[in-house]
Amino acid sequence: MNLRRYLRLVDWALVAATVALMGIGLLFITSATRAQPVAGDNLFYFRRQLLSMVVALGAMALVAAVDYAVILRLAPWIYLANLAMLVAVEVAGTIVFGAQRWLRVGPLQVQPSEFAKVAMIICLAAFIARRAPGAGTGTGAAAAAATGGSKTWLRKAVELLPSILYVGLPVLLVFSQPDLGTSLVFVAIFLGMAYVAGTDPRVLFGLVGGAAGAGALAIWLHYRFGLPIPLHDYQLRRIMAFIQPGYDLRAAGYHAHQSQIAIGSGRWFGQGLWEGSQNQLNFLPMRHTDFIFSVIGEEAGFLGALLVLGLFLVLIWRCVLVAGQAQDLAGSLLAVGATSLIGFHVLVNVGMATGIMPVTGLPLPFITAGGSSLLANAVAVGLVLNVGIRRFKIYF
Amino acid sequence: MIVAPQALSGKDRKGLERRLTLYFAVVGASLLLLLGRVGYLQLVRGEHFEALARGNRIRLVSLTAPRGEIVDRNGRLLATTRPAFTASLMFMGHQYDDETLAKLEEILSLEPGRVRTLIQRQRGQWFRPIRLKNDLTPVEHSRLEEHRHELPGLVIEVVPLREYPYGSLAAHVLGRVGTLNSEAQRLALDTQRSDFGPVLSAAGLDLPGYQIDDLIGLIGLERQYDAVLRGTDGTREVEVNARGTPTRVEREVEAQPGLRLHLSLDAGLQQVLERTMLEVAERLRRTRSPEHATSAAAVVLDVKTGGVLAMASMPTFDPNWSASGRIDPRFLSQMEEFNRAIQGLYIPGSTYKMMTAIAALEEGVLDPDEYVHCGGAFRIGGDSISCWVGAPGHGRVNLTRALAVSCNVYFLEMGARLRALARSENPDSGLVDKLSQYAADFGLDGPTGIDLPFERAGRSPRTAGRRWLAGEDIQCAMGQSRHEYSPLQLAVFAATIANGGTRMQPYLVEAISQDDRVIWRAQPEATPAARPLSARTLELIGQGMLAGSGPGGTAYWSFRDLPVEVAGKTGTAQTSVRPNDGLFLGYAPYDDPQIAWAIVFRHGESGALSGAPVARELVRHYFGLVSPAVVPAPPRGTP
Repeated sequence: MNLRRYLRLVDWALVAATVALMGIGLLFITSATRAQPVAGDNLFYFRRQLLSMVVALGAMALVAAVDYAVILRLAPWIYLANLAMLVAVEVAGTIVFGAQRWLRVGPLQVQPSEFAKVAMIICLAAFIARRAPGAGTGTGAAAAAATGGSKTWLRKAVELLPSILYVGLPVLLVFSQPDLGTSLVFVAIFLGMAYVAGTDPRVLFGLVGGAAGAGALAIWLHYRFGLPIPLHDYQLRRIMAFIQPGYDLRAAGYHAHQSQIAIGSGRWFGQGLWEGSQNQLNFLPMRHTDFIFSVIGEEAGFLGALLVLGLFLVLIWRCVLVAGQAQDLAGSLLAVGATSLIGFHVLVNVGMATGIMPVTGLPLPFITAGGSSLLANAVAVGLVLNVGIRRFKIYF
Repeated sequence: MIVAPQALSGKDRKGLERRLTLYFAVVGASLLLLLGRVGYLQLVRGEHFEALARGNRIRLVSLTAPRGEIVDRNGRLLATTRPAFTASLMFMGHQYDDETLAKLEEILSLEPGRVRTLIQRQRGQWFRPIRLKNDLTPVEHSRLEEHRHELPGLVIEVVPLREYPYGSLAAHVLGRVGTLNSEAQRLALDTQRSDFGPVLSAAGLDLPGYQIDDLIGLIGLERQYDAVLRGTDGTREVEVNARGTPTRVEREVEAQPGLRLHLSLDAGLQQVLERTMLEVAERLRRTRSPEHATSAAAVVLDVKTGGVLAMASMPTFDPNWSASGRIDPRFLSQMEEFNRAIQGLYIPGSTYKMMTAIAALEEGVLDPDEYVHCGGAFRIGGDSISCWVGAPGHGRVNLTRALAVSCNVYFLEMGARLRALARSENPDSGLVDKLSQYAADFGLDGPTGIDLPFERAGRSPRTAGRRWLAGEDIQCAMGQSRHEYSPLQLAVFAATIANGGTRMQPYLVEAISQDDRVIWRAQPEATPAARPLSARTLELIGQGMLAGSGPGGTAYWSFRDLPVEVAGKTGTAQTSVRPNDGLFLGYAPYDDPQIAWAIVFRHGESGALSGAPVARELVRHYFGLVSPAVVPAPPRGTP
């Protein structure tokens, strides 16, 4: 293949936005952890994140290079490997803050659920594209969606059942870790991809509404009548802290409130890098991970937040563009899956930091410290680049 | 499984693009919404938040919920709370020099380096004050105030601490509080609390969360009912100035006190029991030897309900010693937490003879009118076991008299008959297998399930494939050899006999209430018998026990002058160490039993000398034969 032609087809705006976000992350991770030296090293997290960044960019380039048709062909194996990995966490995982999310591999601690998200995108893209009505007959998915108008809702919901089961198994495993946030990520990825694949949005709304209603009812029954539900106390507390502020200030509500103070105090221009008192004085919990956006808000102000959110907007815009130009439905779905993954994380993470979403512990893509998440998101972007490069069939 | 690449037709692509546009619009709108929220926080309310963040800081003060009260059946307060001073540090990022910390440690009499350890431990949670010491003494309090200017961030708060107005009264039943200090403990409490889910939700309380260093119930009812007693801590977000002094309350969630436990316990009877046990023990040590009556335990049950009226274990302790979470070092060596009433196992001796009689009657190997000759000794093979009276023995005894005079020969004979019967049915079995078929129905086979933690209990012995020597087997008929039971088990045994064979589940907590509203009430519960007994059998046993406190009976002396008819059985158990243990089981009144008891004295010499005199006082008090005891609370202050 012609390398120059290849490079010309790479979406450089997407790459730039990604690298810029990683750079911002590196900067604020350093600020957030300066006061907490690890083994006497003030730059411990900086070094670790820098290393992760290099690895992640390498992985991104690698994933972009291999034809995604090849990757999609591996989907069944990826699906099985993914399940095996999640079961391994269940069996041999390390418990952090009451949740079993880490797996130790030699000297490294990896968070399998981060990779599970990307694996899910690949598997779902293959699964949905193959099962899309008209697959193989050449009539395409959208045509089927148009004729589908005459089917009953129930019928449509039943048709969705195999995909739901397909995504449901890993969701259940993640949910039992317990990791409510990641389970919801799976749901978001599924919804985005199913919608773009042509599923009637009313059916999707019905499903989501029904599930949310059932969840709310279960929680109510739990508090009113002691109904046993598969959620841990701290998860319930976080949800309750969100629904009913002041419910448990001790943990969840307090974090959210402190985060709002931090962001709010940044005003237009921020307190200045390394000057945020909320950050530097340990008021912010988990501030180089879950609450990194609060540090940015506090130290870089509204302009900083604008820059970060703007970069995410650019990133998502480029991904959607690629989805529209893809040569086939599966490519489109890959790009949409990656977009949903990143978009949902941003929405939930920033929403949590600003107090409009419950505290779920989802990382802010590219910015939150942590190699697993960085690598997984870079691979997702790599997939989008891949689809973008191969948008014109003629070159391959 | 190969994915067929599908080129998108023009029509498909149009639909796809339409959906992608809408998709992007939704995602983009969400991002704009976030930006709007950030703008609102930073640009509209920025000034407010900046003021909060700068100079004035928010600290999170935990408002300790007062533990629920524990009251006896007459509403007397056995456990309550009192306000106490605590010292905490509001860490403001300032560095303390060693001298200041040393001063602080000296005033609070903490070990050197303790404060720095506590500050270190609070890492990452410096928004919470660091608790240095609970329950300051007046001296500590005034010295802290004196040095306050040198100690920025020092805060003295008032918190409710546990107080037991009657001191050591019923200490083992009530238990004590202390700090949670192990993950295992946390897990155990976490598991336990779910039992109380319905009660807590009826009271509008959450299931409590447990953290290391929390003040929790360690033993007794404090432990068993910790989830309902602890209440829900509140929180207060306070603004503090640069010196760590709170200046304004930002938000507050009030603490919700724990629920109140209503016990079946009668504090008056409990006091009589503990006092008499102590008197009897002291008398034995004085008149016999210092090795006598080293420890003792007793349980008094309400025959009709199974409610515990009194439960004592001696030696005892004062739960006030650890109300602050740490045991007062002055009393460390006297902290006697072992609750012998539910954890000590004792050889029952002759108090077990009712069980042998029941089995013998039910199996038909005993005719109640039959006389057995006691010549002072019973021969098994080549060995001989002597009756406690020695030669020339009790002479002719029937069942009633055998129970009254506690004739060993009579019960060994019954044991031999039961053993023969058992072995005729199954050559590998023995007497103990026959006994254990009946013993379970009387609570003598495993834990009773009382609402106290860490109960230990004996199991009725069985041959279980092992070859038992004839002597070893037959001696079980007189409660020796391989029996061991807790005093609570023995009390259930006595109460079941008294209650016509209906075994009531023993319990301590009768009700749980919140603000005088009863949330939960115990339902007395009968455990169904596997082998219902004939009324005649129990009547005969009762007559024998009544004769035991009548003229010629082993316990006659203690009950000779009481107008209430008492049914009782003494026991003198031989253990590996002399003097013998003394036991006394019984119930009263004979014709309409209301209370039943088991009293065990380690090295009590005999049941007649140790247990029976205690039972006498119980009966005198319970049936109003003495002017009712007024239970005065000990003066406050000194624990």
